[in-house]
Amino acid sequence: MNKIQTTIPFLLAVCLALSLFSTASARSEDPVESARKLIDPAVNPVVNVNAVVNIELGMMGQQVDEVKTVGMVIDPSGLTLVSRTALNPHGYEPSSFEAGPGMEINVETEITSIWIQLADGKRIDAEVVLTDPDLDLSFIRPVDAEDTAKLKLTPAPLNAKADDVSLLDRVIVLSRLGKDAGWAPMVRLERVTAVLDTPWCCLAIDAEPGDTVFDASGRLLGIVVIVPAAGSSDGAPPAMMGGSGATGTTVALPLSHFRSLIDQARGISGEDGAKRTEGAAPAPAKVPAPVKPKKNLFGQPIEKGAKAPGFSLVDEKGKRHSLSDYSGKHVLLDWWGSW
Amino acid sequence: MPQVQVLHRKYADNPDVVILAMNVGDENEKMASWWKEKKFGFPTLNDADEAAGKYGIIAFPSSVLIGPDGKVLESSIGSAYTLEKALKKALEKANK
Repeated sequence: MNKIQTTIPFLLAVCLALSLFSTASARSEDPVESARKLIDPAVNPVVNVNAVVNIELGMMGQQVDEVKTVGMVIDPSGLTLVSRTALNPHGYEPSSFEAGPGMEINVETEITSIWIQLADGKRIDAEVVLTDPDLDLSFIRPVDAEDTAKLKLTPAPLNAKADDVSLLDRVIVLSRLGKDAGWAPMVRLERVTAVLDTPWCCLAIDAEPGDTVFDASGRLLGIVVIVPAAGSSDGAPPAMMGGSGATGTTVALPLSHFRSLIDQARGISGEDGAKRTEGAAPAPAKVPAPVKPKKNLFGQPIEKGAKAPGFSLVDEKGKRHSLSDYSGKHVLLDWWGSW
Repeated sequence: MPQVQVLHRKYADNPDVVILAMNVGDENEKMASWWKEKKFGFPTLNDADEAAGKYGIIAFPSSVLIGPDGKVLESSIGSAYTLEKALKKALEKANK
């Protein structure tokens, strides 16, 4: 009897150990539970991010929004990635929308404060260092370098490639609940519902902007941002469709494709958080900092100093434009597609 | 696109600056109706696919700044505002 009693717990322990170390046995285990174990080391860098946004709506008056989202710490300096739309749902350009026939409302937004909300209740004031509206990404960092020590956060390692994940693959989504739930981490499983090649590679999944996404093996893939829903707005930013803020497709932005952008943000932030620009005012979120990736994984656009190849194309009014028409002027070409 | 619109507004009165949207991979008809709807105020060139190849553009949006001498001053992945700084610099240099 005694022997059976000791044997059963022993067998249970063996089963548990096997299920932990064998991926094959994940099938027999609750998949969410095994996902939770896989990403447990990465829970720490996923943090709640709150902001207060002042919204001026022209004749419709003023409004103050408290925004709650999640972000991911990617650097020991406390550099944190958030979805720009989630941080400032009304902060889009051009800053107006039609509220009715002939009634154009100008929208001005200003983020008056941002803070990283830790699960232990601590609040760390932050500022926006870099924003890329096209990627829907904002980088924030603690205002006070001493605060970064308080974060005690292991930066999330960027170790999965977009190519590792394909259509209908399982991904693990990590988020954090709100104050009432003690800012507890939340883990769920989703499937990649589409792999989008344009305008950049991203994976459509059902998640909230700011959520962190891992591949099925628990390797960090990227952060969830919003892209305009296909065919609904023809390339306009999601918020333009209404004025009520973010709509569109939530996609995981594979960070492996945006290393150079991250490096740039790191450069601003300082490698260790000590190299800060003294006396510099915090960059307001609505003024996008210039983004110039040093190199890219898609392929290098034409080199500096090269002779610009000529073209002769017809515009939307039927007028022909040749590059040679503009000799002696500065010509800015903006390449895009209205996907 | 909207960001480049803001940029265009800024430089609309500057005779030294031309902003061209290079549209890739759209049917012209769709483009035309979209353009009418949005009223961008700067030329949108259709069928720029071949030119995109010559410029080595495979990510969108991408931007290229060409100097008065017809040489590439700067290129980047990201919409045109990513080159605003380079444009400002180039204009300052040209006006010296």
